Amino acid sequence: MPQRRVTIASRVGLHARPAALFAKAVAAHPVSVRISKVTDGVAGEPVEAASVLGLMGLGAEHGDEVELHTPDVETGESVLDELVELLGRDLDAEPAG
Amino acid sequence: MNNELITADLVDLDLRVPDRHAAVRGLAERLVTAGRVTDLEWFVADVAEREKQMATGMRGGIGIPHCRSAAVTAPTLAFGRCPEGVDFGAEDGPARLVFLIAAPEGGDSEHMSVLAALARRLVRAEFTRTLLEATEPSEIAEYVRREVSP
Repeated sequence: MPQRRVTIASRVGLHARPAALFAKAVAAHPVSVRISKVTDGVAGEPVEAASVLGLMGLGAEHGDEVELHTPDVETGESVLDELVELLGRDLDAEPAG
Repeated sequence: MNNELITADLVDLDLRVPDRHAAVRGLAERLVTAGRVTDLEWFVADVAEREKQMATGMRGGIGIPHCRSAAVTAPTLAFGRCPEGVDFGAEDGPARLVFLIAAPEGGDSEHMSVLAALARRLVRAEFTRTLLEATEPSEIAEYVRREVSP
């Protein structure tokens, strides 16, 4: 199963605008993506990455590591590459799309 | 002053308002009466400023307007149930469950943990069903306090 880990770059964490932009990017793909917060190297309970509410519930702050995974083996790798790149930027500094 | 996160007087089971501004104002008035907010206009302006950055309407009929404001004296939740629905900008339609989250200036980690804890409950069907079906404000205040402990 394709998966990636990435550190949250947004200054405000994965909340508010960054969470909305990220959820929108996930929803633009037909594949299911789940995300969990990594604590002490262990991934916690995953939530739907396309849900803003789900993302807010993660409580992922700036500098926290998260893990993304998708059951889609065909296009999952490229989708995760794109999403990881997104989380690696300060989304709060970018205009809402 | 009671320092609980939410109390029965901060719950409105029949919030009938024309728009989200009126919904926020209605709940904010309860915060003023409870001594949790010192200045209604100041607080409402702070919430509106936050809403301008990003809509707080969530899928599933939920609105969670929130802000940190110097007009807030203690971290507080107010809840309004809107039978007619109020548009908070969610793509799937109006909100029937509205939580106004008020946090004092500076108390930032607590604010985020309340928001995260509330979000985790709001994705659960059992939680939203309980909020939709409760008949007493005190029932909701107790339930939310129990579920959303910072």
